[in-house]
Amino acid sequence: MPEKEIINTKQFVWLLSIIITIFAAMQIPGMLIMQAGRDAWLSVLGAWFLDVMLALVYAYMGIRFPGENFVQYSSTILGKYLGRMVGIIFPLFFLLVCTLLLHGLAQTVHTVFLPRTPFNVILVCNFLVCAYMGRKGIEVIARITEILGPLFFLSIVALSVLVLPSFHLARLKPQFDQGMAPFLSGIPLMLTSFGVCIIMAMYIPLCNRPENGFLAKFSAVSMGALLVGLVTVSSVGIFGSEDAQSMFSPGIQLARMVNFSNYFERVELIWLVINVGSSIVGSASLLWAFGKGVAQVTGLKTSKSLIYPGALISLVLCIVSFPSVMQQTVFYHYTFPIVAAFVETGLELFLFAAALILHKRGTA
Amino acid sequence: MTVLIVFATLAIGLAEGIPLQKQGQWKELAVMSLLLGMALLLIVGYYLHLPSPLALLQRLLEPVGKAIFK
Repeated sequence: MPEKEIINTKQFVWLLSIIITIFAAMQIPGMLIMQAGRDAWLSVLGAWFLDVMLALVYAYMGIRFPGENFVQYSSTILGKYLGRMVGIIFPLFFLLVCTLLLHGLAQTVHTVFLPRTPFNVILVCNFLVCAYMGRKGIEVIARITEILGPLFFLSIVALSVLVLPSFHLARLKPQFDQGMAPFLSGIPLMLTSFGVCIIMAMYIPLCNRPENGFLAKFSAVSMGALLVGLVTVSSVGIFGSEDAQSMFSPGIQLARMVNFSNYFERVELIWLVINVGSSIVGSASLLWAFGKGVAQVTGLKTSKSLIYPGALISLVLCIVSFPSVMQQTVFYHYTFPIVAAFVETGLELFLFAAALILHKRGTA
Repeated sequence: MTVLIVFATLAIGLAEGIPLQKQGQWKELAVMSLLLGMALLLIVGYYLHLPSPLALLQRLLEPVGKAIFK
């Protein structure tokens, strides 16, 4: 009998917002500031708007094919063989995102906090915890996000408030001093990171109220955009766009600035703990989505036995594809947005158009 | 690291494979073995200095990315 898992709308929102925020907030602010300079926060706003528009398509497809995720409705729309070929791209994409996320996390921990620990040790530890959690299933992950999600949200808001005394509004001005091009080119960079929330299509069939899919995604993306926007604005306002763009993780540099009269220092450790937790939860959820997707494409009854092999492939990809820190950053900056745009926007719009033209609907 | 990956592949294969075999879930066993085989292939390819799938993807798409982003 196939596994039956159920999550509620609140868990749905936290699951999505953690994935979006952690993926977008870890490395993207630096890259975005490099791309758009002082206009980076406007690119976040632009990406938020476009992502909400995209969410309409995903939510509509979720309602048009009730009880089916995109892996399943690919087959319903395109037929058994072509549908499976298209459907397998989504789980592979989640595995790629999981690889980038866990490599980025290991990189942060290694560079900033544990420089003497071998990088691969940190990486393997990340994968062990993440795979263990992913195997427990989405209900367990969702319950953890109910605790971690609000903590993560509050930590970034608190961080932005605590660094306010060092903030200089003048560093954000003038806007559009190099025309509209930097702002416009920053939008796709940000959008492809927010677009990871296409994983919502895997959650909608499990949600106890699938009609809330759009609302959940809207809330999650809005929270994600607010948090990434706060990190971006604070980084530019405090360090200036020239310095912030060369930082590996501006969020951590901001956290390092917080201290109260030499009594309360090193709060970046608290921030890091929350970050590590959120990254692991986000990655576990991506691994779960990979296992579920592959199980559905191949017609398996259970996906649990695919989680550890999926984690192992992801770990091997980290080792063989990114032997150095720079290689991952370059891949993340120049290659990932193109892949993500193809999967998140191109493929889903193609399925949407095909469903309309072929008059396909779900049977549930 | 290669030895660790080979050891992990065997460990996962045994830990997940034996229960699946006992329950007669042959399809699940086949897909799991395929995924473990892919992990092994990737690490062997790395050992033999073959490019990884992500390196190939990067070679293909990076010029496009560099044309769009700074």
